[in-house]
Amino acid sequence: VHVDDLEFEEALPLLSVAAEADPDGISRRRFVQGAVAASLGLALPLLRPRDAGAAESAAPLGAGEGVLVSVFLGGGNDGLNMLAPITGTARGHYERLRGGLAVPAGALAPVGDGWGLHPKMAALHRRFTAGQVALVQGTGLPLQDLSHFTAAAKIMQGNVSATSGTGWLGRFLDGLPDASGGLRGMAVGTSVPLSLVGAQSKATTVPPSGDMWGADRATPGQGALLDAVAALADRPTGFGRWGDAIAASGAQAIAHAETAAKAFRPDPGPGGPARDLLLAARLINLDLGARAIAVTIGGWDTHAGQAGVHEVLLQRLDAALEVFFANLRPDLRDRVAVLVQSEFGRRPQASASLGTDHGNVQPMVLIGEHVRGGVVGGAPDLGRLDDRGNPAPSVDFRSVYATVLERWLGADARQVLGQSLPQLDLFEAGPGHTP
Amino acid sequence: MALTSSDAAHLLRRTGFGATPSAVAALVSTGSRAAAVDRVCDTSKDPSLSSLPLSTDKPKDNLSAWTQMSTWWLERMRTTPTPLVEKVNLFWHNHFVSALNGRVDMGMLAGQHRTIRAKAFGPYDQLVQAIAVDPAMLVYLDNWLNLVGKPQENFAREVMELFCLGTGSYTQDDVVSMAKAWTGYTLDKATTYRTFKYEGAWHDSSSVALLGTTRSWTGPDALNQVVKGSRAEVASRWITAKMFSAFAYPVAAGDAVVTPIAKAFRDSGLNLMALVKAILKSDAFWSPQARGALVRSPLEWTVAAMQALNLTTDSSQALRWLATSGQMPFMIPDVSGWKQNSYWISSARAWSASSFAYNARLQIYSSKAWDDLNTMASAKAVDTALSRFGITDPSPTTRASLIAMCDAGNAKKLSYATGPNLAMAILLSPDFQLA
Repeated sequence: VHVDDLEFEEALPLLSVAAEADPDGISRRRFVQGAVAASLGLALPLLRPRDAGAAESAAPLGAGEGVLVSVFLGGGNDGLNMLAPITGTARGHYERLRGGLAVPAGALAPVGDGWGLHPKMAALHRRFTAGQVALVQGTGLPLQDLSHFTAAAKIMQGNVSATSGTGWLGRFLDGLPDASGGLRGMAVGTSVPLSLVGAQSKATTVPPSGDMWGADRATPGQGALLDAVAALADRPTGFGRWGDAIAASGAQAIAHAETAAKAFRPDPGPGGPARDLLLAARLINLDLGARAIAVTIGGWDTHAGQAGVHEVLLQRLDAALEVFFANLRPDLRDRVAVLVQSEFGRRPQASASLGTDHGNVQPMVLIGEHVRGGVVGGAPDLGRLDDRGNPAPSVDFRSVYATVLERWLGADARQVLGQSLPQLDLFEAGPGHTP
Repeated sequence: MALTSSDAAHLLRRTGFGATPSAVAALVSTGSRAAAVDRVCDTSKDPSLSSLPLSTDKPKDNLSAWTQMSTWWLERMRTTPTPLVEKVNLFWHNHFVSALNGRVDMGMLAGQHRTIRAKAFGPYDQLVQAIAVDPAMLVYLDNWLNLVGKPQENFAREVMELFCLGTGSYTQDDVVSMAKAWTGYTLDKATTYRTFKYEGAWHDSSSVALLGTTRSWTGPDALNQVVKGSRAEVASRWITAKMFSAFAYPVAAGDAVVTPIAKAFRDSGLNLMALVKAILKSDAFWSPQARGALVRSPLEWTVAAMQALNLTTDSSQALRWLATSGQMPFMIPDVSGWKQNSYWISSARAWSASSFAYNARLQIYSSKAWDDLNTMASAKAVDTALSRFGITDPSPTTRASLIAMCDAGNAKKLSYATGPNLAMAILLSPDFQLA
C-alpha cells in the first residue's frame, strides 16, 4: 500500500500523524502557542465554560466494556534504545552498531532475557516489575520503503491490503451501536488520526487549548446563535460531502462542548504530553462512554544528534504515562489499557550525524492492571540484518491489535482486521473482571 | 466562455482568499473565463522583493520574529493587489517544507521565503535546485550533515517521495544513491553556518546507479535526473497533480485529468506560471466537480474573513486563533505538509473557528460596521450579509437557518445583534468554509 494508492482525501488525515516528525517540533509549537497568546496580552480562555453542564445523552461504559488509549509516538521511536540488550551476543552487536549512542549496560533496567528498559523509563519499569506491562518485542511488517507516511498508513489502518482509508480503531467503533454521535472515539489534538477514522463512526477531537464554543449557552444572545449554527446541519447543504461534513462537525462540536469542557477543570497545566494524557484520563473519568482515545506525541524522528533528544522524549513519555494513571478514576483502572507504539523503529546502525535512520521493527508497550506483564515476541536478531540494515520482524503488529480487539475491546478481530491473525498472551483477564 | 458572478467568485476563492463583491464585479467585467484568468495571473502589481522586511540573520528571539513575520505575511495576503502570488507562495511554503524547530530559526525561514518568492513563477527545476541548497532545507532535513562514507538519507528520501516523484517510481537503492550524490552540500563554518557551502572533501564521487543511470553524480545533476532526466514525465505529473489539487479538486498523479496539463507544463520548459495558467484554463477547473470540492484551510479562511469584515491581523487576533487551528505559518507540523479537506474538518477545528468568529462578532458589534442590517427585514439582511462574504450561491439550508435566527432575534427585541450574529454564523457556515 502506497500513499498514492489510497483514495486521496481519505488518505490525507493519516498524514497528520506521521506529523510532528521533527525533533522539538511539537514542544516548540506548544510553547509558541502559549507564548503567542501571552505576547498579545490575551487571557485564556476567552470562552469560559460554566460549571454546571447539561446532561449528555451518551451512555456510560457498560459492564465489562474496556477502553483503549492509543499513544502514538510520531516520527519513529528508537525502540532499540528504549528497550536494549544488556548481555550476550545481542549486546555485542548493539555496541558495535550503536557506538556512542549505545545506552550503557549498567544503566538499563532489566526485564529478563538479557534486555532492559532505558533508565529514563523508571516509572514504566516499576509498573513492569508490578506485572502490569507487556513489552512486545520485534513487531513490524515487511516494508517496501521506509517512508513515515507509508508506515504510518499501514500501522494506523491495521489492514495492510485495504485501501479504504479507515483505521483499525475506527472500524472497531463502526461495530458499536451508537458511535456516530462522536463520544465513543475521542482524540486529544487538532485533527483526527487515521487510526480513529471509521466509515460511519465519528470521533470528537478535543483541542488542547480548551476553547470550545457552545460550553457557555447561558451567555445572553448565545442560544439563538448556537441553534442557528447547529441547524446548518439539519438538512443536506447541497454542496456535497465536504459541505455536509463541515456542517455536521460544527453541530457535533456544539453538542459536546459543555461536556468536553469539564476535562479542562481544574486547569490541566502547561502544554505537552503530560497535559494531553491528563486530558485523556479526565475524558475517561467523565464516563461518557468513550472506548478509544488517541493521543499523539511528536518529535521522535531523530536523524541527527539523537542521544539527548531521545532521552528527553522518553523521560517526558514516562512522566506523562504516570500522570495518566495517577489521575485515572480508581474504579475505572481495571477498564483501561494503554498501547504505546510508533510508525516504525529505527535502524540499528547509528548514522554519522549521531542519529538513526528509519528502521522497521519496534517494541510495542501495553500497560494496564489486567495486562499480563512480561516480554512477548522475539527480540530483534541484531546479528542478521537485511540489505537495508534492519532485523526481521518476529511478530506481525496486527497480532497485537487482534488480541486487544478480542480480549479487551470485545470485538470480532477478524471483521475489523479483515483476516484471522494469531493472538498473543497479553491479558490476564478482560476489563472489569476480578483476576 | 462567458463568466457568471458565481464563476468569478470561484476563481477568486481558488486563486486568492476572499471574494468581495467589488472584486467579483471587476472580474465579471472582463467578459470571459480566459480573460479573467489572465487578469488574476497578472502579477505586475506585486510589490517588489526588495520591500520585504524579512531579515535572514539569526534572530535574538524566534518568537517575536515569528510573530512579526507571520503578521507581515497575513497582512500581505489580506491587502495585496495580486493574491495569486501569496496563494502560490503558500503552496510552495507547504510543499518544500521547512519549519521552525530547535535547529531551523526564523532567519533561515525568511531566507527560504525569499527564495520561494523569487522563483515561484519561473522554471520549476531552478526552484527545486535553489530550495535544495537553501540553509533552512539543509538544516531541516539534515543534509548539511551528509558526508562521504556516512550518507544521511533524510533529504534524499523526501526529495523523491514528497517533493518530486511520489512513492513507486524509485527504490530504496535510489534513495541511497541520491544521498551519496548530495554528500558535501553543507553549511559554511565561516558564516557560523548561515550560508550554503559545497565541501568537496565530504563529497562521495563514486559511480552509483540512480534512476537508471550509473555514473558519478553531483547533487544538482541528481536532481536534474529526477525533474528533467529519466523521471521527467513522472516528476511533471507529480507536481501538476499537487498543484491541480490545490486549485481545483484533489487528484492523484496517475489521473487522466493530469495528462494534458503536465504535457503543457513540460512543453513550456517547466515554467511554473504556464502550469498555473494551464490548470486555471482547463475545463476541469470550471467543472461542477471542482465546485465545493475544497475546504478552506484555517489560513485561507482567516484571510477571507478579515477581507469580508475589514478586520486586520491584529484586530481579529488572527495569530492567536491560527495557533489553535493547527495551521501556523512557518510551523508546519511535518515534512509532508498540511493536507486538504478532511484534515481541516474536526470538532477541534470547529471550535477554533468559533473562537475567531466569536471575537469577530464582538469587533463588528463594537464598530457598528454591520448595524445597517439591524433594521432590514430578515431575508434582506441575510442576503446582504451573504453577498458581503462573496457567497453568490448559498445553501438553502444555510439561508433558512439564518433567516430563522434573525426572526427569533427580532421577536425577542434583539435586532441590535442581527448584524454581528449574521457575521458570526456565516463565518461558521459550510458556504464560507468551502473554497
